[in-house]
Amino acid sequence: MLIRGIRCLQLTEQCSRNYLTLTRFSSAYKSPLSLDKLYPASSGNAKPGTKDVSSEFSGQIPMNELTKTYSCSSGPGGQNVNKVATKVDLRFHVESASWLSPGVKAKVLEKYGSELTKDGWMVVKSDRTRSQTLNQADALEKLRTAIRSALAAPKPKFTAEEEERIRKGKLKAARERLHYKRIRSDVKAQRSGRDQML
Amino acid sequence: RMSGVREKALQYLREVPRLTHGNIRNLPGTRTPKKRGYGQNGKERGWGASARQKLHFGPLGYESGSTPIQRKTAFERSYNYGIHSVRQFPPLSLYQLQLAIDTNRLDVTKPIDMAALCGTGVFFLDPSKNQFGFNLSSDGMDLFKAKVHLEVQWADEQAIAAVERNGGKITTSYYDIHSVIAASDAFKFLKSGQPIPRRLTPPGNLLEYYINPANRGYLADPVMVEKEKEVLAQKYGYSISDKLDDRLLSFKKDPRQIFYGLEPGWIVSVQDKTIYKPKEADVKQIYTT
Repeated sequence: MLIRGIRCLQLTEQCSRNYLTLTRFSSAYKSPLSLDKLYPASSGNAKPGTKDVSSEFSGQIPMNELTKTYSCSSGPGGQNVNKVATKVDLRFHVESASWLSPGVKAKVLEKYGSELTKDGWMVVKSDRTRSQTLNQADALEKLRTAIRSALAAPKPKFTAEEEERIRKGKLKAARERLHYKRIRSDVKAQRSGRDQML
Repeated sequence: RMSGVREKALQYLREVPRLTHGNIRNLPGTRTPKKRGYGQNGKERGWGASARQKLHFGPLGYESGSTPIQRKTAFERSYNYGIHSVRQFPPLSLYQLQLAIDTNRLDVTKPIDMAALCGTGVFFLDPSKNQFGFNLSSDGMDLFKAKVHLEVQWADEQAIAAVERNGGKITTSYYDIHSVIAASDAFKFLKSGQPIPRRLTPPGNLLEYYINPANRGYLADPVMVEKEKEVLAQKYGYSISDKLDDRLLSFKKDPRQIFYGLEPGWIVSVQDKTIYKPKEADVKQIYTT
């Protein structure tokens, strides 16, 4: 095994040495499949993303404006959960957030005002998975969902058709109640024996 | 004109030294095996009065003569059905890649492609097992720190994010089996004296993968790839600030190229340190289409 290891190393050195010399030749080989022939219109400069309109949120969050903290997650897991910092904590100060347009900011404060910290920071945490990368993605998703739900128009409890049915139902209930009330009062009147023909 | 069988038989007669019992056979269908008129071949097919007195249940699943349900319904294939024809992309985890870089098996100042990975002597591809390249898996994505110019054959989303988060560049590229044979053991291939083949385009069911900018396919629109990079950065929460230096980015591989700096059609003599290039126009034509 040791001998094989040495031989492998020699081969790789030889290979990498040979590969080194060969890569210094930079050829301008262009087949019909080269990218500039497949996509002649693409100059390589991507258009920058559009800025958020005052009442909308596109989902874009500048990552350097969020304060990220990593810590150890809770729960079972032995040595791994004790050592690996998989829990993600994202924070930002809502009032001074320049990436939220004023309309969006107002709605976020309205909905989550009572959930902010004393100093006005919004906190989103995640320790859902075993990986810090995935937990960070989850935390960002939570943040975006929260902002979007603040912007969403409040849903009416009932639709227009349902409202109409409820109204008609109430009128019908009243009609029926009065109908049976009249019948009962007739019955009671007949029992009294007043004005009866002998 | 005589039928093929008769012709063959007569030819055989001409060639054979003498006819014996050993080289004569009856015509098919002229001799039927002798069957007894009782037992399994009798009227009751082994289920008659005397047979019923004994304990015999028939084969498993037997339903007293009617076609059993396991024969009526379709058969399940074996679990490994098609194993010899399925395309394999053996995994290469980010952890393994980081380890190889940390132990100086891979040079980060040069582009890392299939030839470089197999040249380490630690990662292996066996074309005879239908292995078409490496599949960069996300195992170890949290501790991947290297900044690499990487070309693999398959990559999942988190692996792409891990490479790009550190400022690297990743491309997924298709290698047909002959290109894999060349690149997986470059030293052996170059020693064999064959001209470098041109890489074929991906087959139908893989074309969609390599045209998709989300997979960083080598046939995808570069502008769309940049957009997808931003989308991924927003999803996983990093900003694309760090970039590879221009020298590393200058290493570009055409979709028909296997090795950086070498064109298809060239014959490389490692011992003489020379390259032989084709001169004839029609040969050049083959390698430049």
